[in-house]
Amino acid sequence: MAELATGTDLLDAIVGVAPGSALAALRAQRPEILRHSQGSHDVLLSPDDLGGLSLAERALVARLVAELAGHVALTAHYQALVDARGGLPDAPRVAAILAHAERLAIAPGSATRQHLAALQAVGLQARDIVALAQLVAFVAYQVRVAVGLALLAQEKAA
Amino acid sequence: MTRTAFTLEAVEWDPWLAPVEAETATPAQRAALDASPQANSAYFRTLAHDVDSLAERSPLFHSVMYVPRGLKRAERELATVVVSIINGCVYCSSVHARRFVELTKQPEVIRALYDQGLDTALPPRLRAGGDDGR
Repeated sequence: MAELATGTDLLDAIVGVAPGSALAALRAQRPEILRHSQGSHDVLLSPDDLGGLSLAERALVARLVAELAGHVALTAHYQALVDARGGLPDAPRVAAILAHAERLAIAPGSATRQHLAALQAVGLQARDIVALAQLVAFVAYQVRVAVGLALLAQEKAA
Repeated sequence: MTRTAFTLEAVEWDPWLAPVEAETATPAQRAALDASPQANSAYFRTLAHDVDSLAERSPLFHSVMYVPRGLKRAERELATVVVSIINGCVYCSSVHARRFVELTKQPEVIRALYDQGLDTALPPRLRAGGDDGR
């Protein structure tokens, strides 16, 4: 499961929400949250217009944030996406992007104006810097929803 | 303009990236801003640089924070204050703390979190909601 098939809900797939299950019924109570969670994923990981942040860079950032959060299944999913997309030729640029992603994931309040300048120095525009921050925030959110749903699944199974 | 003290006062937020200006916004940016809680705020105008993610984020945020059933509005705001404290964001904590106080008239809950930390004594239901924010 590298690139998602159209219509697939990634959180359902990661958590193992079976159609017709109690957890599926629970999730169906919040259709707007489902739609825009998956929609946020789609526009951040696979946007129609990439701007200045490549598909491989987006996958790599998502993998890092999932790994920092300690979510094994999401880390594996995004690692597969990194492998499928390949092609990260510019090492200093990738290092700058990942350094900023890690900072935002671990200690967002520690980011400074100089950190944005470092991103601009490797070619990121305002739009790309915003997309990077949104991507870090989205995966942080996604991990928390995945963990919460897994706990609810255990509770319902118990 | 770096602030380190969490507060119940309003805090001005100035972006480090120049926000999108109303005069030069694209139709898609205009639409995404109009669907955001505050179309003219510098915060949403900065997010509008990446318009497709803003167009998904605003309805997602709205559904999580404001749609009825489940957690009470004030409890959602309290969980968000806890997350903001952990993130070290004076701006977010100020916004959500003030909403919590508007809804509950209980500034003492926020002051306890700010002054005594996240382990401060809270009523059990608020304690559970706050802990989930961690």
